[in-house]
Amino acid sequence: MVNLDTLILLTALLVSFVAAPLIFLIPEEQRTLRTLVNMVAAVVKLSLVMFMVWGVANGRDFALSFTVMETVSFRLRADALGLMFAGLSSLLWFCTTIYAVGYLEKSPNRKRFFGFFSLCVGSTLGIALSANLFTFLLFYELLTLSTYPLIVHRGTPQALKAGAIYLRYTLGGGVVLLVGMVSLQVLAGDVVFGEGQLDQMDAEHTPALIVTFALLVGGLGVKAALVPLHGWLPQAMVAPAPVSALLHAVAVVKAGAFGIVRVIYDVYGLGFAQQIGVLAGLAIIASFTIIYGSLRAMAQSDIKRLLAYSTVSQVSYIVLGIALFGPMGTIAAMSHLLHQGLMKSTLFFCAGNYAQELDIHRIEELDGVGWRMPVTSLAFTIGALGMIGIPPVAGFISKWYLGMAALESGMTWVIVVLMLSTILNAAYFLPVIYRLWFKPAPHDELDRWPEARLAGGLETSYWLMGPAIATAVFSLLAGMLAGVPFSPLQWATLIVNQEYVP
Amino acid sequence: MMGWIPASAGLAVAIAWPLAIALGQMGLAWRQGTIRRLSLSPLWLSAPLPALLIVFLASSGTLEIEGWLLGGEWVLDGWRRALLGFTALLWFLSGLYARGYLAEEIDNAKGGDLASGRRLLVLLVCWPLTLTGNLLLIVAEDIASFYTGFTLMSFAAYALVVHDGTRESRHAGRAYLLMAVLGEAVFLGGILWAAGEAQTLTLTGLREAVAASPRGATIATLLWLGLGVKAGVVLVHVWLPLAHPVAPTPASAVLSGAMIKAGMIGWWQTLPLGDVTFESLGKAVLIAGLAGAYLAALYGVTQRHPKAVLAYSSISQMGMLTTLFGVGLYKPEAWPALAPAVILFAVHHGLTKGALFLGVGITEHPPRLPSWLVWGLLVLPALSLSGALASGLVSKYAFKSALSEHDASLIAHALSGAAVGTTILVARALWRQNISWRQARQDDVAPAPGPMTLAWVACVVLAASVPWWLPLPEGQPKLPPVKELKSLLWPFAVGMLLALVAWALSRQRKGAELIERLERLPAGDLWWPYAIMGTTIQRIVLSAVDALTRVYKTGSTGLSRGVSHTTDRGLVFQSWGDERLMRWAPLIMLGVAVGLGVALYLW
Amino acid sequence: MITLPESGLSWLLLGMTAIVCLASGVYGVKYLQVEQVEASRARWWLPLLTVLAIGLALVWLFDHLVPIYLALDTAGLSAVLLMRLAGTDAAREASRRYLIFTLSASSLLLVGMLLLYLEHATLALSELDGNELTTRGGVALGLMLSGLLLKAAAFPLHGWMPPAHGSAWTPVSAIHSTLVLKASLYVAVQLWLVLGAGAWHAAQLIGALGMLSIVWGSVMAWQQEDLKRVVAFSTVAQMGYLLLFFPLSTGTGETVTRLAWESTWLLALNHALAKAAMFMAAGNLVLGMGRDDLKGLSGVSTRLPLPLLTLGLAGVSIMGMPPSGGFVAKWLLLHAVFISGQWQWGVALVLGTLLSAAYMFRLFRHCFVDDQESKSRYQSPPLTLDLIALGLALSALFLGLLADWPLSLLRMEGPW
Repeated sequence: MVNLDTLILLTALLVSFVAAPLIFLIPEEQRTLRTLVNMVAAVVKLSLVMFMVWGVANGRDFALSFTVMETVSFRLRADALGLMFAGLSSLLWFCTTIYAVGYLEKSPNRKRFFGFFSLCVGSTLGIALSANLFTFLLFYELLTLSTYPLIVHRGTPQALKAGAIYLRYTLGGGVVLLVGMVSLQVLAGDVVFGEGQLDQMDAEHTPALIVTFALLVGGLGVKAALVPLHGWLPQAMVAPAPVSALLHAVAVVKAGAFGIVRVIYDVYGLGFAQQIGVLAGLAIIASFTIIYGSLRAMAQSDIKRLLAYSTVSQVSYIVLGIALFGPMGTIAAMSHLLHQGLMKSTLFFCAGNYAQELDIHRIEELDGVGWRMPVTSLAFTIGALGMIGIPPVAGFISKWYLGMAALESGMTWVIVVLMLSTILNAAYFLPVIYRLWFKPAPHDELDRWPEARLAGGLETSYWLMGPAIATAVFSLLAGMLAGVPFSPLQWATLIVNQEYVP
Repeated sequence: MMGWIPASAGLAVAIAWPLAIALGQMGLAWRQGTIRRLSLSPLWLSAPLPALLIVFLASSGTLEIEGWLLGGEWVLDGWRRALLGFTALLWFLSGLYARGYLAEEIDNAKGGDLASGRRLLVLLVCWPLTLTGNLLLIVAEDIASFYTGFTLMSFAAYALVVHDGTRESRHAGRAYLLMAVLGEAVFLGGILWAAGEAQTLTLTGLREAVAASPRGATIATLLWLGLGVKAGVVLVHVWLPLAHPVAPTPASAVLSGAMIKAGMIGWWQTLPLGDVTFESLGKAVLIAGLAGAYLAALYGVTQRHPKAVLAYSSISQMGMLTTLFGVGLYKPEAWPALAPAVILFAVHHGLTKGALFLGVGITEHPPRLPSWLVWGLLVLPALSLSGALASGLVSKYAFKSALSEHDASLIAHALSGAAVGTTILVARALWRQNISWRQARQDDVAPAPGPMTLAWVACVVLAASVPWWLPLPEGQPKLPPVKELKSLLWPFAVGMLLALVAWALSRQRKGAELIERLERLPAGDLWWPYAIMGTTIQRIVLSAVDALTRVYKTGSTGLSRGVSHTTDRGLVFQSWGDERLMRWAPLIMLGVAVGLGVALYLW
Repeated sequence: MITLPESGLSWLLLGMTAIVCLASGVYGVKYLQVEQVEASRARWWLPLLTVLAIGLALVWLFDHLVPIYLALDTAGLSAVLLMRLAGTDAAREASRRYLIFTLSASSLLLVGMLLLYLEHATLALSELDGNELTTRGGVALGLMLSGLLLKAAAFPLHGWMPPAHGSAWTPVSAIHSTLVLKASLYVAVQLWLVLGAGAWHAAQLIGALGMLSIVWGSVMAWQQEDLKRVVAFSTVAQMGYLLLFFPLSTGTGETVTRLAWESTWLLALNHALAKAAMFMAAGNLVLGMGRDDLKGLSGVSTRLPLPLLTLGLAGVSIMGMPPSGGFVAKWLLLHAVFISGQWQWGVALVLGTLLSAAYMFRLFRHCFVDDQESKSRYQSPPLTLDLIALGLALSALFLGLLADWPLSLLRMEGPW
């Protein structure tokens, strides 16, 4: 049973779970050793995931399962969809870890931070690779637990409050999800992802299946921050910047969206979900979230809150893509899963750089900062333009496929949503870019930024700049070279061709 | 000569070169840390040259780039060659002109003025970026590339508009950006819809989709309106008279000459012209075009700043062009004859308007040339634009004969009428320029630097002769026969007459007062009511969202407060109760026993 | 009379007893050293523990009510003595009350047994099985069950338990809450399966008590300011889940009974391991902080990371979060609820999960407050203590993934 492929799968998953206790054991002062463990884990994980990506593309099967209860098994399997998410999270984990090392320099409790950080990403990989709902829920809850310490890391009253709110939402969601999953288990048995046969059930079960669907999506929607379940996300921005990146781009929000993808594609089946009419409702909720999130973002004056509401809006593109059943919608959803991750982590890295280097937290303090921190600001600009959907940054690709999907599924009104969201995204991101580059810096510029210069030199530490540049370049390349094999778009297309096209 | 360069390589270089220059400029600035060595070097000036070269030296053909976006397909063919040629040339000449125009600012920056340095750097980076976008949208055949070029141009040009950093320019920049975003969004909606209907990736496919779709008219309306923002269609033109005058003069020239054609190119590329009839849309476009042509002329003559007058003239000219597109939508059978005329007109207007704008800078800094020569060169493009001479006359004849061939002489006459307006507008511009010229002579302003004058002279000459050197898709245009001249020249004569009347009026006291009162009309006309309306809408929407949020928040906090209130009470009771439970446990146990007994008895 | 158990359950409980007693024994020896308890009291620890363990083992093994009764009381009385050993006033008071209550409960048991004997002329469980429940039998069953519920600290009869657990030595609390309480519950379940099958109303009543236990215990735990009392009240809540077995196994058919059976004992096992770990971790923290209140927890995360981690891991299992055994047990329980259609227990389950998260995270929350002013002197407890607790916590945590093994034992034989 245990062959090499299984071993690789298991190692990729366990690497961070092993790294976590190691980090807990390393004394606080030994920064180098801790960083080394972190980096080794990140590299090993990334390369194993990349190997699996290659392997799956070449028809290898990475799977593992054992029985937990009579009717329920623990199942892991690296399929194309899971690997997409796994690839994203391990790539961004790598960047975020580097960033976090730089960001938390000299702050207390780093050991605790990095330990839970590892657990968090381990759980995310588990979510990506799980092959049935039980396993999914297992890692999903683990993710909730391991993010809490990161959110309250600073220990300030605000952070504790945000943590409490986070728990209230996510644990509530988790329980709802549990109920939904058990209900599905009762109705249909242990559904292995991709082998669901719900469409062959008697019609009398349909109402129960609809209720179950609502439970599942309701539970997952908390993490995916669907309005009105989004309340925790803007609060959670009090956490340190790398955690925000993790929440918004790498793990938590994505886990929710990914879960919805799994439920619709691999449990219910797209056709069946459409047939019982749950997708139209989902499309409306997602559209409302897109618009509402953008409108709220316009009213914010704190950079990270703005980004948080932007996440609320952007993640719903993924949900919208799924709700627009059809191959194009699937491609849109899958590729946006990656694109949003890249762009949003860029933005959070940059926001963190501003906070760390110049102690800037509010939008109106950004006047002329582009000249003090040109590289960071350039990365920010790329990320923001991508969010608006301006080519050649990756966001455009998602928007394009969403448009194609809208027509394909006959929901032409979605085009209007896309138009509106473009305008609204521009309405809250362009003023920021304007301030960065075109607004003159305040008069006391030289006092505020002692090393102010036109350009050039190192604006902040390598650890902070590197990841921001890397993710910005990736999000640019993901759009510009969308046609190249193994780009997010191509991988999404591969998934669709392999798995969802009958 | 054509065919010396393979099309694919030529296209790649033509697009990549200005982009590389922009990136290189950025990198250079970052590495040097200062702007001391920064200037408009010959390398920087060369950005549009590869594009210009391939117009003359490359064969027609296609470049396919599989990895690019959704699959890139760039094409060089007959009409693209013409547009690419004039665009690249105008950009090149304006760049050369900028080298002189910005000399003072460059000196300031080199002298250590931080603010000038920064402004200059933004310009130096965004100029070639805008150029890249402009060139890309011309050669693009795949939708994604077109849209990329279009947006790149739109956003990068913002930097050109606000270059001065004054309040007016920032305000104009706002108007520009706002309208650009709105237009872009509407346009995006149109292309997504059209492309989605046919699941196509190319512009040809897009046109076919619009033609075939049952909702083609709606899609075409979205496309026309979205692109119309760029083309200065009446009602959505408001940014144009604000932005064109405030930009630095060379930027105004490319804005009004080259970039304004992006909207038109978009129509050309996305609307199924000559294929299907869109009756009501065609009528609407026609009316909007004519309205623009006339109203802009009417409003434009009131402006004081010559660049504002020229900007209105651009709206008016684009209105004429729009009218031609309206004819194409309404009467598809006329389009094949009309299309070459449209291209010729666009090319002619682009270069001529560029020459006129560049001329504004010349009158502000009179060069050391004899006055007759300067004024001769200033008047030449003015005459050409009003259709009395050179390229203007030729292009006017071209579309007039095309229109008459397909019984649309009424429209031809209407357009002739609009030419009266054009004549008055250019006369007005020259009049205002004359004032500033005299002022400059009086103040003994430093003469325009060499590159500036050179670029201007070249632009004037090349603009006037454009039909004879630019490779046009249908070959050299026909010169109008002598008997046609009367019908072609009357608008000019009428316009001159009216201008003379106005001039005479201004000599009288009452007339001068009237003119002065009219001159107070602000540039941007409808922008001001729009701005008030927009702010109101924004306020309403945001307060609605606020209200919604408040409901949501009150709901959730109310819920949690209610819960915590009940819990607090419950907790007090509970602590009290737990204590009692402990004390009376044995009795309670008996109670439980009785309860269980009863329950068991009940079965 | 002693038969080698055929049921996997007895094996499971025996194993559980062995593990917890062994761990507590070793832990206790070290703990008493660290606490510097004088030898006159400390030397009673191991003998009394042995008696208690033997008593418990006999409860799992006997098939006859009289020896079961004797074994149960032996275990109970030795627990009383162990609690008294702590020597403080609070401990003396608590153990006195426990003694009185447990004896009065025993007297109910005795009366019930007497009535039962008069009715059926036997007290062997296997012989009682299959008899119709008569009125006298019903009264007997009611008396015995209420006595056992008191011993199992079910709401509203739990009042004696939190003070006792709060004041006793840490290993004593651990053993008592994990094993002694469950022994009473075990006996109640055995009795019920033999006599109560079909008594739908009584089952609902016990279920309702279980539900109230969950809510009451959790909310009480949420209010406590002392670390060990939080843990003690959480036991009340956990016992409530186990009581849900009664309604779910009565008149619901084989599938539901089977699921309820599996989930109940898996939960019991999970609770035994996790709660023991939790008590020990809490004890270690108290040792390290030198104080018992939650506010003292600020700053432990840097100074006492290992006990805190243990507490956290045990807390995960108590909350029923994956991958613990508690999670799998709740999954099974919920499954049973869904099939049986008795939704109210599902509500109890959901509510209990959320409330348990509330009190556990209220506790953890204090650990993240970086209160530099807290002047308490921290001293690390010996590593042995930490490692024992950690071992138990980890085994509870991974019980979920390895659940198939205990579950297959439980499937060997059961009430279906």
